[in-house]
Amino acid sequence: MLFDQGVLDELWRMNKRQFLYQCLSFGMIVSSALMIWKGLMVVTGSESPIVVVLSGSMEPAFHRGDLLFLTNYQEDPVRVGEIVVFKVEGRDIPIVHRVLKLHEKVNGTVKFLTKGDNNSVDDRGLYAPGQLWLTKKDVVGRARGFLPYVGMVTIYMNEYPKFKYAVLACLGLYVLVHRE
Amino acid sequence: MISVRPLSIEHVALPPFWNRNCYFHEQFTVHRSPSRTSSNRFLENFVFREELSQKQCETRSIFCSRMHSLANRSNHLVSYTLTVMAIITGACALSTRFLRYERPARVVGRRVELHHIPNFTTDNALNDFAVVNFDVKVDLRGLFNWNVKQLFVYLTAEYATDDNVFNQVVVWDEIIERREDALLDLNDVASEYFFWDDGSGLRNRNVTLYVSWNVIPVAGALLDVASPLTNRFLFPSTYKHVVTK
Amino acid sequence: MSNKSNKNEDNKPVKVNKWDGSAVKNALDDAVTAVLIKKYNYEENYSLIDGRLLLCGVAVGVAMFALLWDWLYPFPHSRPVLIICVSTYFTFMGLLSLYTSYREKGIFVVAVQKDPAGFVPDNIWEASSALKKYDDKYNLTITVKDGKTGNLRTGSFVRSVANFIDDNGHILHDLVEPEVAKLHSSLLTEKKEK
Repeated sequence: MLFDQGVLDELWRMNKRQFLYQCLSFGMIVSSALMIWKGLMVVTGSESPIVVVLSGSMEPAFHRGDLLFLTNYQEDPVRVGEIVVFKVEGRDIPIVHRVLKLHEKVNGTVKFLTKGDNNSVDDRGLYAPGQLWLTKKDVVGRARGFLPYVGMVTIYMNEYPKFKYAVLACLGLYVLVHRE
Repeated sequence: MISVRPLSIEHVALPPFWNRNCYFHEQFTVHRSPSRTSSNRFLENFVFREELSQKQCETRSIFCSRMHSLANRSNHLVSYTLTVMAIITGACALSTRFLRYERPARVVGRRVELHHIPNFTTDNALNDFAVVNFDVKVDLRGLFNWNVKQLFVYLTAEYATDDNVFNQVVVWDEIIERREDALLDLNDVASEYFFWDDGSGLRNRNVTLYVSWNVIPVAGALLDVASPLTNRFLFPSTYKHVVTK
Repeated sequence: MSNKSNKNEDNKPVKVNKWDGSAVKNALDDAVTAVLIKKYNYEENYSLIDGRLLLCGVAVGVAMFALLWDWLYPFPHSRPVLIICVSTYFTFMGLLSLYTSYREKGIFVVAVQKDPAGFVPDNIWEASSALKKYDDKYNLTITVKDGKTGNLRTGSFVRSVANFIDDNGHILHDLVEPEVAKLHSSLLTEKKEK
């Protein structure tokens, strides 16, 4: 039996304040996760400090489902050979590839070209139509740390949304009902 | 109701998810009967155990550790596994954090040909195109440890032109996955990628060639190391092929 | 919701999973609260719980504000606001844990003994309890603060939960009440002696 006996009875037995506290506890767990994520955003300077590798274009370095930690410090210039995560305008999916060529002007504007290790051609085909180079504003961050396999959970949850809702519902119910 | 006899005895509450033993308080028993297998002789000092079935636990109203349902066991097992794996991954990542990955390397540019042709990869404007041959000698075998998944070795050409104050082009790269392949001693290698300038500023230019490697760990921080030894050489002052519009 | 639970308590005893330590503790706490409030007709004072609710509510509010602001003004522009919100949130978390450990200290009910005549200032009764994980010893502590003299008197007992729960997991109020009443009267007599 997955649920203990009387677990929902406890919910009915709570008075107003206890029920409010349960809801607030649930809210606090969500808020803590949110604040940690926003805190990471601020610390790393990147709008998406942790990304999951979605394709196999950087094998054998990164496989589908690996987790990457990004930073996006503006003072640190992009250099060739770095692994950058960028978003093409018009498409929401971040791409993780390596910088192949870089040209920088006196005033600081940079344009660069990327290529995936496992691809035989560079990324010009992936950029927006008419776009030949990437600029700093397309970059979400530079990969600084790496964890294998952890991102598979996110991939499963995105491919099977029912699974995601089931997990979230179970967690939510557990927190709401369980009195500390 | 059971009459109780208070006793001060410490007890250890370890969830025994590999068996169904109950840890209970001595005050509920009349006599002690510890089982003397080797695995619990240590715990004996802290708690008295008896192999009890769940029915016996229930009838004696003993406060048992709750390991008798599938949900409980799988919950404890999964969380324990995840915790241990997280700790091991963290330890692995930290263990190689402070190792040095610099090694001496030697790059020699051998032959350069310059062309001035339409750049078919961008917008067909007339750009300088270089074909470079070079030697690479570096011994990277010492860099491989338990936390290195692969080394990404690449050769950069760095120069400045009138149009762009700073340019970098990757001319060649190689992925090394095993220690045996890490001794690079290559002569007269042709460039792997098109060496286009963004403009036409390669004639008479001092170009610096250097090899760098990207250490990709099994878990942890990604590192990019450039070899300190570089090779500067002068590009030719004339084009081999020129296309005029 | 509370009305229904009152009726239930009168009609049938509260049932918990007797192997779940925290559920047992909560049920026993509720039983003790019922004794203090209903038997002695004390008034429950919610200021302690309200303080905790306020801290939690403000923390969640700050987090929601940060979420909204970041959604309206995407990341690089919202950086200062985010920094403020994140540090405020974690300060409130720290305050909350300080509040729970030092101000609340496991107190689950604060009851005010009002003098019906209205002359004598009120006595404040506080009950706190502890039940360790995988343990069966329920430790109940009752503190009474005398309204007139300001003295603080404490009494406590440690009983196994087996004394109050039967085999099916029902909390037996008839067994809880005499223990609590005994403790209560011992504190009252102590006061009268002094």
